[in-house]
Amino acid sequence: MKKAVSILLLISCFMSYTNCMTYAAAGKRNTVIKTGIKKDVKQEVPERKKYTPLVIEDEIADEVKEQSKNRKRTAQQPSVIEDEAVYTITKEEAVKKKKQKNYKKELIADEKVVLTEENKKFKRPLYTGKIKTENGLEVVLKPVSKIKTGSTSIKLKNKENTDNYKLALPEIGDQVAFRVVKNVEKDGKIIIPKNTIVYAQVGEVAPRAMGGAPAEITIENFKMMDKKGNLIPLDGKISSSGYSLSFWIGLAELATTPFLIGFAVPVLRLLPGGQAVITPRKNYVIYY
Amino acid sequence: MRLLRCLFILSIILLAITNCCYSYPLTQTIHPQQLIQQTGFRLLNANGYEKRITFYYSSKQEPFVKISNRNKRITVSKGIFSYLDNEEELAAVISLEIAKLIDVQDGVFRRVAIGYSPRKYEVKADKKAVDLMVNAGYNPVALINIMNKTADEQNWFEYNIFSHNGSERSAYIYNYIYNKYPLFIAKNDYFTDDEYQNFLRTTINDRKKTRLIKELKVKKQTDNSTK
Repeated sequence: MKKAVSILLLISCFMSYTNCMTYAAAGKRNTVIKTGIKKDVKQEVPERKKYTPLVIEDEIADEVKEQSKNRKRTAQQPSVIEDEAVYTITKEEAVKKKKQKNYKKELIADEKVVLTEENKKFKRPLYTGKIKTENGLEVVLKPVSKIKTGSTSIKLKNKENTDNYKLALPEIGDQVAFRVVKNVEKDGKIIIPKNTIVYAQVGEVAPRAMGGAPAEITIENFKMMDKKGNLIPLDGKISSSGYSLSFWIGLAELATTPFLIGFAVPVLRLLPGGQAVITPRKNYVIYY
Repeated sequence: MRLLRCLFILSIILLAITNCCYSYPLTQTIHPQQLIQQTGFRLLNANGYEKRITFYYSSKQEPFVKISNRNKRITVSKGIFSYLDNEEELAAVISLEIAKLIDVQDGVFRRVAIGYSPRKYEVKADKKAVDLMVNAGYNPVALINIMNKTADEQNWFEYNIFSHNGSERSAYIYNYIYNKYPLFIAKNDYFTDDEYQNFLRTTINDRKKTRLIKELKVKKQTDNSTK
């Protein structure tokens, strides 16, 4: 037993010694590697030129010396400047300050919120951390009618005038109808028959802009009615963008610069891109 | 034996001291980077975004949040943290940049279009950021707060062709939230904040316009349903 204990003690001492040495080695920085530095080697250093500053004669120096000798030095007293803003606070003023009310925040009311029935049904999504890895069954759709982006002007009455405002169409939240093109089957059973109508909402509309930027539209929140009359949500979004003229505007600018010296640039940049369209001629896919 | 026992005790003490004094670099806290990655990946996963984006923390004091178009990377600086009150404002700042990168990753022609009309895609990215935040469980009104704190404000004679005013951007965001997610404004957690109150003071006409337009729209819908 004594031998075993002594061996254990020796091993622990050896481990502690090696631990200290490794930390000491890690703490060392800037280790210099010496490689055969020769001593007693004379280096040739060229002689530096001595710098001699230019001497500029001061013409007035002699006159100032004579004047300073003649001046009688008197004891300088500091000039007292009265500061009008400085005053001492009296006891009465200190008491008044304490009684003064602290700054109260006046809250401005926000605009009254107009809620539709669909807005009231909105539930704030909670983040669960679960990620969908599979999409589900494909549902092929076509819009019932053509959906196209555009713009209108609305007149709003102020106290004195009526102001015109531009609005992008379709507006956010507008309901849109789609029709199922093929039967959706699972295990030989038809879950969603052909020609069922699926309702959706317009999610976002980005109108077209100068510089050839196209309009964009996304449609989301797809829902359909079951045979029992229940609303079943469907996954997926449909997005569409118009044709982009930016690339061709860039090419046209490059091509016309040697002839028009860049005068075509401000004119070409005014051109907008195309409108976004969701046509019944095309099939769109979402998931069940 | 006594000698050996003493040596054993000394060795244990030395081991304890050396391990405490010389800590490995991995044990140091890297909280800002972890926080940025946590919020960034939460935004990406909640929205089911299929492409890769990475998030970096920069120790520079200058406040900025940048995107790298080539590397698809979002860099958040140390200086911006002094503007952030909570995680929702950090999520707002990151979601704005993710929305920009979504357009950048759409292809070459989209990138050219962004170069030729940056103002349009800036407004689009602001609206997309609202959707990203809502789907990840954050309050999108935090975007209005952070916009009011950090965005520039140019006059008409200081017109910047590449970006909107801060007040214009925050008005667009308010309009989008009011039309799509109005419950966040009806029950507003940020209503008493100084930044939001300042926003209310500076955008009275814009907010009135959004309410009037929505009232007209609701009137039309009710008229159509009665017919």
